[in-house]
Parts: sequence; structure tokens; C-alpha cells
Amino acid sequence: MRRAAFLERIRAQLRRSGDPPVPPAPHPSPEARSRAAADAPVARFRERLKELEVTLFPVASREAARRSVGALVEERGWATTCAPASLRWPGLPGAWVDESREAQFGLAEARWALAETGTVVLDNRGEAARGHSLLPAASGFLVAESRILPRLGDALRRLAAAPDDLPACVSFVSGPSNTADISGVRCVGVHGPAEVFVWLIAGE
Amino acid sequence: MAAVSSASRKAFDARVARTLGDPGLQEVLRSGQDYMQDLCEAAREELDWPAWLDAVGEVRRHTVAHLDHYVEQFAHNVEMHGGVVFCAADAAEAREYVAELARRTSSRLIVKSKSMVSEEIALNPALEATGAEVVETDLGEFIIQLCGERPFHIVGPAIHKSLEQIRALFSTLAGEELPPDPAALTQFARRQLREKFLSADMGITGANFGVADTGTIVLVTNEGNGRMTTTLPRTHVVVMGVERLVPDLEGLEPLLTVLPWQGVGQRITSYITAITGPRREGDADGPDELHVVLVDNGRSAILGSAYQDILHCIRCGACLDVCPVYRQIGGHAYDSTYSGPIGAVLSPLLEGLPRHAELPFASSLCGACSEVCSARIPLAEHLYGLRRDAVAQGLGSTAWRAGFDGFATATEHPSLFGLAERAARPLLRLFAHGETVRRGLGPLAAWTHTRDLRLPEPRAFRRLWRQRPPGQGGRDPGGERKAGGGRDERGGRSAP
Repeated sequence: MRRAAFLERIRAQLRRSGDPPVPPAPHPSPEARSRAAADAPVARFRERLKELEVTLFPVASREAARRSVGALVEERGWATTCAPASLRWPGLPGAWVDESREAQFGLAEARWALAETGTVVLDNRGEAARGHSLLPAASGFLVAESRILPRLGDALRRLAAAPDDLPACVSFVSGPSNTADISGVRCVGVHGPAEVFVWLIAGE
Repeated sequence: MAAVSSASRKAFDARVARTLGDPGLQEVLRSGQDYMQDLCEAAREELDWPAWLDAVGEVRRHTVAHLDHYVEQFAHNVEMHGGVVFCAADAAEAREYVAELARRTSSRLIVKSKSMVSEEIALNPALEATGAEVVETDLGEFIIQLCGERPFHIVGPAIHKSLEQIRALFSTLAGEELPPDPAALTQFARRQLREKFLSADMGITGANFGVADTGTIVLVTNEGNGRMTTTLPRTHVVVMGVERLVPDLEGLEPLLTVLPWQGVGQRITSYITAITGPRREGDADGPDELHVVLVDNGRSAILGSAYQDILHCIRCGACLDVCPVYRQIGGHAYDSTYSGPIGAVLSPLLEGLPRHAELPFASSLCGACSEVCSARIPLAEHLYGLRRDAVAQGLGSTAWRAGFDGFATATEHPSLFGLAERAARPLLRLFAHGETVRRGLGPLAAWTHTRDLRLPEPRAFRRLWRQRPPGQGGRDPGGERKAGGGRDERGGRSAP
């Protein structure tokens, strides 16, 4: 159907003049939102990760994070890891691979994290591929402590403030891929990673 | 008058009887509802729940009330980011567009993430007619696709399938006996579907929401199939109801706060994906083409009517999880894409009351659905409204209609009313055990088949009132009429 006719049908049914609407007031009220927001974001974030069965490595610096990632890769015997170029430091046990589908482990940098839900927010753009945090069976995220926001709306407002900077894909990831579609029993690793690791960097 | 309904009524009763007669299914329905209600208790303690529901209702009300504006803005912004928007007036237009796209892009293998709208428009057969293989990738949808069934629940499409049924189904597919272990069966499905994802040409998703201000598509999933579908195939097609928009990114907050609690009893789902256009220059992955099909298919006809707010629905499934009728009859009894209270209102509005005349009556009008609704939609009131519409259109069952016509006549003729009042007890007593009628005949059976009926009291209220001791105040019922003719008084006096 031609778009003009499609829109006209809706407009006629609504008996609207076609004037632009006045945008709605902030939702919900700021009071309700603050009640839901975390008082101590870092502690809350760590608590939520535990509930989501995410393995947390608190580290003091980026360098410490690198050593910790290397130790885990070695311990697990992962032969292939994918990550954007900025995270591909030399000396990692196993090999860096370009194709996410061939990797056993994927590493990504969180743009933000959300305390209330234990969420990491990922900008998938350029070398930071969507597949890095999706195709390997194990997934790791680097999260700078200063990047922890209270809740979802705080990230949405930041995205809304810079619409021209919105990448083609933003992912909000909270724990492992899971389902309860078979007789209501929770199972992890349906399509995405079954294991999730977070390196929480205190110095950043 | 009842020509439309008697056959479809029988079919409805047969579907209901199938679920009622299946003890396994009854247990699944009971435990499923109880489980969801326990989970949602937590949300009500943790959040200022009423304020969030108000916020959801307000965002949805505002958007739907100005839908033409937001659709135009959304379409413009999708295109700004390199997407293509198609406005489909009905199911056929939507199907043809996607099928033609599949032909043009030579898509042989199509993977789908869960989309109720694609069920509504029967997209899969149209795609299969192009020669393509179509694979549902949500685990629940995958299971029911293998069975050739409809979703049983709008959030959990395969909740009615037992572990043993799924084991047998997957074992046939695997060509070997698989263990009765949900984790092992899930891993089997992962391997099967991973292969499909890696070689798929086209990915089709629904949209939980579209953001008008940025042209963003928002997908909420736990399994990650939504992400796979929007990452691997070179063409991504979104099939969404035209009403599923919000004005801006901030408007998503209440919706994404309430939806996971109501739908799956979680604070948030594992994945929320915000897609704005196809992959950009320099992006490592993502589809080359993005098409958004906005489906009207009866929605615009609801705008401006008494039922406009049904379009505020965010498909959380909460009304199914509290409905005492859904608890008994399950999703397949509704014989429509959408089941439960939302289905009982939405399906007759989208497809016409004659097609779904039974559904507004498949309700106890208890109001639990209205109370739980994420968007504050007065579902029970709409069920009641649709009953009135059905009766006005002559769609009620003959016995039911005769009963109400009889009642109307009696209330207009006081002597007749008095006669019925006196005759009711002796007549009903023929079918009664003690003070309860459990098994009636003829039109009475329509009631007693599913409900108990108490015998009327030996002395009717009107008689008691007239015989009240002197000095107790009040006016005789029908006192105003007495001066005018006193027919009801005469009837009263001759009562035994």
C-alpha cells in the first residue's frame, strides 16, 4: 500500500489534524525512578552478576585484567579467541582469530554497565563485531568501574543525547543465553554463550 | 441468527474439552501460572510497581493516540539509516512483500526469531511457496514448528509439550535416542540451529518496539536467537504491528522495565538488542539490507473505537498467567494467534466477531487481567463490551439468547415475572440434589454444564418485603406503579 494512503487511514480513524504531538512527560516520575535506582552501584552490580551466574574477576588495572584473561584462557585451554583489535594484546595463550564463528572465547569492551540488572552495554561497530559476544560458547567483558550506571534508563538517556552517534547495533547483555522452553527447566547456552565472565577494573 | 455460531461453538467446546480431558496439560497450566505469579511478587516488592505500570500505559496511550505522526517519523528515520520500510495494509500485502524479497535475494534458507505478527499473517507457508526452507529458531517455536502446531502461549509457545514429547520429537530428528534431559536436548537444538544460522540467507524477526525518534528496532530475548538472526544472514526483515512504537529511546525505559518481569519473571532478559539500520561502512558484521514491514491488518480499524486501548498492549503475556479461564482451557482452545484475555479481545477485533464469537464469553469477567495488565488496559470491560456487540449482532447461542429474551420479557411484564418466580423452584427441583441443580436439560444445561445453580429461596424477596413487620421503613417495591394499575400487586397477593 502507498505510504500516504496508509498514514491517511490511521489519521482519519484517529480524527487527528496531523499536528505534531506534544512529547509526553518524563516517564515514570523521577521519584519512582530514583527509588528503583541503586544506592551503591558497584556493590549492586557485583551482587547482580552473582545472581546471573556470571563469573566476576575484580582487578586493579587494565594490565591486571590482561594477565587475568590470559590465565583463564590458559586454564580453560581455549585455542581460539576473537576480539576487536584494541583488545588483541600480544602474548595471549592460544590464537586470535578474525571469525567469531571459529572462536571458543570472545572478548568485548563494555561501553557502560547497569547496576540494577547486572547488564553490560555493548556498542557493536567497526571492529567490535556483534559476533564477538554472541558466537563463542564463552564470553568475556571488560568493565571499567566508572562506567557503571544505576539502571537501564540512564544508558537510554545517554544514547538519546547523541542520536548521530548511535551504532547500527547496541546490545544489552545480562548473563548467559538461556531458555526454559523445555518443561520449564532453565538451561544455559541455547544460541549464545553458556558462560559469561566480567573483569571489573577498579582503576578506570 | 445462530447459524454462524452453532458449528463454531461446537468446535470451540470440543477444543476446550480436549484440554480439560488432558491431566498432563492441566498440571502444566496450573504449575505454569503459579510459578509466574510467584516470580512477579518479587517485582512488586522491589519497584514502585503502580508507577511503572502507569508510565507504560501513558507512553503507549500517547503513541497510539498520535500514531500517524509516529509511524511517519519512524519510517523516515529507518530510511535515514539505510533501511527500507514497507506499509502493508493487510496480511496478504505483507506476505507478498516478504516472499518477493526472498525471491529477489535468492534466499533459500530463512531463519526466524519469534514473531507473533508473522504467525498472525501466516508468513511461513508463503515463504515456503517460494521454495525456501523456513526455520523457527526460538526453542519453543522450533518445537511447535516440528509438531505443526500453533503457539500455546504468546510468551512460551511450547509450554504444553512434556519433556518426553520433546525428547521423542528431537530423537526422530537426530535419528538416535536422546536422553530425557532438558540440558542435553537444548544442546541438541543449539547444534541443529547453529548450522542453520551460519548458512541462512535471510533473517526474519518481529519487533518488541520501534523507536520513532531514531528508527531503532528493539528485540527482547533470552536465548540469543534474536541476535543471531540480526547478525548472520545478509538480509534482515522485521515484521511488526504498526502500533508497536514509542516516541523516543527514553520512552523505552518503562516498557523494558515491566516487560521482562511480566513475561518471564526476570529483572531483565539476557539480551536486549537495539538495531538502527543495516550494518554501517566499516562494521565487522551485520546484515547488508534491513527491511521493516509495518503491518496494519485490521489495527487501524480499531483506532477511534471504544477498543482503541487494546493497541496499547506490549504482549507481555501477564493476562494469560492470571486468567482462571486460560488456566483451564489453555492456548489452543482460542483457535487464534493470540490467546488468553488479550486474544479474546484482540482476535475478534482483528478478524471480526463472527469468526471469534465464542472468545469474549470465554471469560469469568473476574477482572484479574485488567488488574495485572502492563499497559493498564481494561481487558475485562472490553470482554464485556464485545459480549454486548456479539448479542447485538445476533451471534449468541440460541438457548442463551432465548434465556435473555425471556428474562427481558418477564421483567417488562410484572405478572409474568411473578409467575416465573413461583414456578422456578418447583420446576428446577426436578433436576436438583438438595438445594443445588447440577445437571439441567435443554437450555438449562448450557448453564449447569459448567456451573452449579442454587435453587431459588422458597419465598421470593418481593414476598418477604411485603410481609415485613410493621414499622420497618421503606417503600413497597413497585409502590409507584400501584396507583397506576397495580398489576404486580395483584400478582403478589395471589402468591401461595
